Amino acid sequence: MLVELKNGETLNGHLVSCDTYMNLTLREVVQTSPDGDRFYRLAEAYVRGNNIKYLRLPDELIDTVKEQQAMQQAQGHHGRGGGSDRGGGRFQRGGRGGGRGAPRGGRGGGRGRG
Amino acid sequence: MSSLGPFVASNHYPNPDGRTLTGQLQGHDQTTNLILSGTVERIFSPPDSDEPSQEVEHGLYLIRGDNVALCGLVDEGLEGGIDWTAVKAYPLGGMKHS
Repeated sequence: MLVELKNGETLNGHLVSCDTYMNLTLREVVQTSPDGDRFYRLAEAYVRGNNIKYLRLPDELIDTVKEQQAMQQAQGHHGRGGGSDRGGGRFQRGGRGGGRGAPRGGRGGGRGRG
Repeated sequence: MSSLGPFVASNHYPNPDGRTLTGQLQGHDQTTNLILSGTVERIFSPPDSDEPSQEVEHGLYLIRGDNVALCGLVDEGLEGGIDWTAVKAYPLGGMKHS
């Protein structure tokens, strides 16, 4: 990925990690000066988030992320239904939430929400 | 923050260095960090010189919110009808004043 900083420098490298402040650590970095005339190669670099102007990312990433989100949603649904074998029936007194499960969001609702 | 949800279509973004990026808004957050796909940066040349070019600056951009000055919804109908290569404009100034 490419990172452009507010001062116009660009860093090309692989993302190792990031945090909620957008601080990044990159590996195998090529750093280019704002004028594009000087190049540096760095094994590793740390970028403070507030110095970033923008990031350029591979296009396929958007599809990857959408897949991940879809999978997470699917897992979320599974987690609820799969947690109780009786999850299927709304009208079943699952006996979990003290039999209060019925029409009110029977799936997850009855789970210990006493 | 009031939602940019309706803008998940096509958008123009001048950033403080005076550049305008157009693309599809894929995501955003409270600090106006933006994810734009299919981003096109249009570079206009001033009225007295030769044709401007349009560059597709890489498909996928993550723009940090600090650098977004404005974001607007592009009207697809109007946009399609404009021949951008014929448009000339003076470059916008940057927002940083020394």
